[in-house]
Amino acid sequence: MEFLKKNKLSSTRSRYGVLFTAPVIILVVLFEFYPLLQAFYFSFTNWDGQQSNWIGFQNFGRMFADPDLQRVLLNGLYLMISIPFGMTFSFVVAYLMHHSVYGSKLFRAVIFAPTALSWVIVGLVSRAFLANDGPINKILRAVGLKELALNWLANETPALISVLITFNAALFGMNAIIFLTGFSTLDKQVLEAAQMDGASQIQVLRNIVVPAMYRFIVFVFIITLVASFSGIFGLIYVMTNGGPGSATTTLEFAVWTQAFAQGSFGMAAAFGIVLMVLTLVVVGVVQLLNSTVEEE
Amino acid sequence: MNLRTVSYRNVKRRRRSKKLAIAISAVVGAISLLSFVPFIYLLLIGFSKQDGTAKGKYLLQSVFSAMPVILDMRNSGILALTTTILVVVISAMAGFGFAKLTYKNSKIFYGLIVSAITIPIATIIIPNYLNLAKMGGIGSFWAPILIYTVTFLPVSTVLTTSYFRSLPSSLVESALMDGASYPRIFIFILSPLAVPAFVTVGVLAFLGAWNDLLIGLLFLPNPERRTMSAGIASLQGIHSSPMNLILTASFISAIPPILAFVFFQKHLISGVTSGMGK
Repeated sequence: MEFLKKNKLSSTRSRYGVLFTAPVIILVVLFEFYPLLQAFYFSFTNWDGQQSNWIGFQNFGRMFADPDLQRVLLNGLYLMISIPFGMTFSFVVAYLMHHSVYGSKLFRAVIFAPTALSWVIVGLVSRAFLANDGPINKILRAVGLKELALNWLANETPALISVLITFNAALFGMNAIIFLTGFSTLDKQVLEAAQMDGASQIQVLRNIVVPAMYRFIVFVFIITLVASFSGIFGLIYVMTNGGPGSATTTLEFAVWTQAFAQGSFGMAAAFGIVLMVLTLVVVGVVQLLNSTVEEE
Repeated sequence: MNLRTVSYRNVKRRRRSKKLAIAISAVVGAISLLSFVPFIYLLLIGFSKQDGTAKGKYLLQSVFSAMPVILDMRNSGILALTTTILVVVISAMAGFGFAKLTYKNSKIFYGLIVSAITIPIATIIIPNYLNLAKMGGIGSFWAPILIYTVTFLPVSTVLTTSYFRSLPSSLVESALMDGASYPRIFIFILSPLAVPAFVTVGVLAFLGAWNDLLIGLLFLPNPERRTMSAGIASLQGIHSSPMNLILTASFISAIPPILAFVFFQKHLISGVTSGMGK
């Protein structure tokens, strides 16, 4: 009797469980996993929107052979390499903020504020700043660095550097706030004890703070990298439109240009798949590193 | 004597640390001032006057005649608000289900939702675009709303699920004893407690949809349904449009997100860092 009642209870529970979770499951399967399979299939075709033929690995082969497309893969790498530099800056500023006595609440709000700006706005402001007669060049000329006052976005390497700096600068505030949250979880007594024992600031930072903050550092790296992979379409679109040439085209942007400017949907799908694989590889590697560190 | 030297040393040390504190605050203050430069720049431009052409009008006024700002803002508002409501409702239901109404295989489905977080929008945007185009979704609001909603659902569901898990199951059990049904328990007992999670999920969805460019650009090519971001970006494409006008338009487009930041800053920070659980 008791058993039957329990059984009935748990079956209504399961029924409602299915009912409550069904919408999200159906939507995610239909509009995330199904198109993922389609993209996977199309990446092996020369699909142009009308017809498609199976061409095996040709799209991927071209990606590694065509210098313009190679450049897209390299740009992803450059973005990845630039992230630790941006992170170091936000880490140090957050550390200073943590020790700042005056006005720290105000500073927090102000540093976080630019996160409200969309990538479109960030790109436009940056473009205006870097214009030939824009504020940056005016300042450079004023302080006598005429040689450095270039037409930033019109030349390949300066354009790429501009994008890398803009990208990292735009995420500086959010990352600093995440690090700040991390610092507030540190054990104050351990830090004070270390200082009592005569450890220098640098030693404390390297031997106590950084290891304790490891989780936060990994987290910031992953979200920044994922943003660089698949979150900055708006930035590239308004700032450089991927150019000059393909100097600032990211994988995500290449999906757009291949599909909607060149009409080669197959190639676009292939870029999308490379993007997905890279994301999985990075997340997997970091997870792996994470688990080995935690074991130690 | 000995005591006095110690205390003297302490005073000296304190003085030095006070100087250090001021120096640190000054450095941090200078950097936060730098963070504010974009805002100051946009404001200065908005309150400047277009060279001679518009008689004495600020750019913040003349931008309304240069671009359909109201219409574009309205479109972005419809998209972002509808997305927000859908994301909150669907992820709240799913969070309750996954946390409190576990059933056979519900763990597998939850894992599926978690793994969807790693699928980049760019990877699936083309198949989605073509599938929805076949269903007449181009130029209508429902298709972009659907895509936005689906994009934010996985992260939101993980957030709501972990929040519902943190609420005691005894609440559900005692309500069942009193004869309440599961929908009643969800709406009247657990949801009021989960409001902070809903706010976080909602604000993130609103900001994401409002600030998006790609999906608006693809799904709403028709001028009367254009989003604000697409409007600004297309102004930029036409080289005749002066940069300052575009910047002013982009400043207006940033007002709703800025307000969201002012009111929900705490929720945003907790939303960002709560992704760290795993």
